[in-house]
Amino acid sequence: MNILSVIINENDDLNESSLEIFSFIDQLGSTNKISSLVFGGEKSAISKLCSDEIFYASVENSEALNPNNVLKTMDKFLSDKKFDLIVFQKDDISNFVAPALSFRKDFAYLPDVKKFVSKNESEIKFVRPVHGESAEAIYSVDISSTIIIKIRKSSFEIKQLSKQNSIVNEIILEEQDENTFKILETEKVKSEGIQLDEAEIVISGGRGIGSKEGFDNLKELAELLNGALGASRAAVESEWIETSHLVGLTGKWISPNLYFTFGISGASQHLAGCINSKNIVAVNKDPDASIFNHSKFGVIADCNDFIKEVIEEIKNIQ
Amino acid sequence: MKICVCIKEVPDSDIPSNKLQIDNQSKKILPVENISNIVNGFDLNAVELALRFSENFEESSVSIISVGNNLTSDVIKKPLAMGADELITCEDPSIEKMDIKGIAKVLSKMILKTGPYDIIFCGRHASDFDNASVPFGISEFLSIPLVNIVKNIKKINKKIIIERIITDGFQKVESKMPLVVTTGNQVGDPRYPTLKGIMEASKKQIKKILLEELELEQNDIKPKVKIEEIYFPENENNVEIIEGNSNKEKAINLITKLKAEGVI
Ligand SMILES: Cc1cc2nc3c(=O)[nH]c(=O)nc-3n(C[C@H](O)[C@H](O)[C@H](O)COP(=O)(O)OP(=O)(O)OC[C@H]3O[C@@H](n4cnc5c(N)ncnc54)[C@H](O)[C@@H]3O)c2cc1C
Repeated sequence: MNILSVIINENDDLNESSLEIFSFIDQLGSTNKISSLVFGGEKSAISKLCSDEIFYASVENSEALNPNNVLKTMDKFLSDKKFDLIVFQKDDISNFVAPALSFRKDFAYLPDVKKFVSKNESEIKFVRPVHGESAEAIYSVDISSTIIIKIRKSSFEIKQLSKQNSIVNEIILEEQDENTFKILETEKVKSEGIQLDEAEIVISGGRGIGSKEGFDNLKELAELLNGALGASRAAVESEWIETSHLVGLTGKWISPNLYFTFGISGASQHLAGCINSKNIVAVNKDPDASIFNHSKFGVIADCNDFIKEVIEEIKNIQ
Repeated sequence: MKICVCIKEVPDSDIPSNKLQIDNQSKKILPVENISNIVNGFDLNAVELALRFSENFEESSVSIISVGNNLTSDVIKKPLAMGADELITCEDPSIEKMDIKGIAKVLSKMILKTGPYDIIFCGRHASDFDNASVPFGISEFLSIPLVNIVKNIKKINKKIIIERIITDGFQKVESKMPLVVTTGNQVGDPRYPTLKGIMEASKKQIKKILLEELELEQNDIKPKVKIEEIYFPENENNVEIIEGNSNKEKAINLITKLKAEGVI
């Protein structure tokens, strides 16, 4: 197959998580031709991507990229090139561009792909979660036209970059169409300390925490363990913590070494974003909470009492 | 201001997986017990934002559009009870077999037939199949802008000014009309229907459009993507519950284990 991976570097560095795309492509066999289309980021990092061919749209700064100009650029890029499969990672721009492009070009589209199953002359089968990740489905996709997929984030081991350098063909980032929205202002809420998607340890709170003050304890524990703060939708909606800390289907997708939850029930939509953590530890007062079905260690306790004991104990041993 | 909101009837997303069953005949997930369907949560956020926005104008109307098969009128009438003006549906068994392109085509044609609308609101994502894509189809097929994950929308002079959520913050963006807007829970809780609203909604006739009236082409509705099988993934449950006579003891035991495993 002729495969295109699409990498969006919203910051100047190479978007590490986009390297999951190559691990996914590995599942499809070793005889494929792989091209990469890269938006933004440092050119030096890009030449090492595991691709036979690289196309690169350099940008002045990360703010120059938006869904509308990436969509326009891809539309133009694809006007004289044909791929069997176009693979996106999950990020703000891809979440917009991947489906929009599929409608514009009349390509098939499948988001959150987790696994390749099989392929024959007429169709290719993939697995993706459905119903807020409470179930999975096998989908068959017609291969007579190009297929766009977006992979399920944090589902693949990040592949080492290949050593041989590929040729990098520069392309131009197109101006967005008139008929699109224009960004007037961007405000990023950067949390202090370690970032949620980079942390090895994440301390996460849900409705069971019960108050904004309760999150102070979580914050203290996160600082002690050099971790980041996560939250469920119930906690975010109660405004105990900003949306940027949301973990789950509609929030961040993370796979830290330790995901330590307090007062989170374990709804499938929340688990979606953290299920690939190496170790999940849950504190919940309800022994039947479904979070326990996915945890390595569980503690049945009042989470606000328990966290104080944990903080004290960590201080004792440090 | 003429507004339309697209809504979808879905199984209640709060039902835990052990209360769900799979019907592999229809390739659907159904509740084990007789638990009523709901309007997709993010679509109710869209209804809420549409109603709030419409209140800024002396003359405005909010139409609700829904497509499916065997829709439950008590469920899909909820936006009427919240204050929307009319409900337009298109029901047909063949809709169940359509993929996102087919559904987006049907909705676009309904919008053209019953509009024109200045703004089309949609939920960002439906909780049954999590495709998060149909609104992009409406925007592409109607060749109008789309702004996704909108928290706030204002009309200032002739321009639409929107607060849009991004993963690490938000953006202020500007768009012309008509446009498609998608919403998430950041809009805030949808209003509760009032008793009066419920009474009035129950009396309102649903405007029904037949699929044939939309004159779709074969290529529009032939699915490229099909579900072969749905199943619950196996989950081997081997949680170790940390015991102890007090929370202090449990904390000590937990930390000891985590240290021994090299996790902290
Ligand atoms: C389409 C869609 C997308 C969604 N996306 C997301 C998402 O990205 N992220 C997300 O998190 N959710 C998401 N949700 C919402 C999700 O379904 C749940 O509603 C949410 O995760 C619940 O949060 P929670 O676990 O904090 O609250 P609850 O489910 O209310 O659970 C609270 C838990 O705290 C326990 N508890 C209460 N008091 C105490 C105490 N004192 N001590 C110990 N334990 C206590 C309770 O036993 C309970 O288990 C989504 C839903 C839909 C439909």
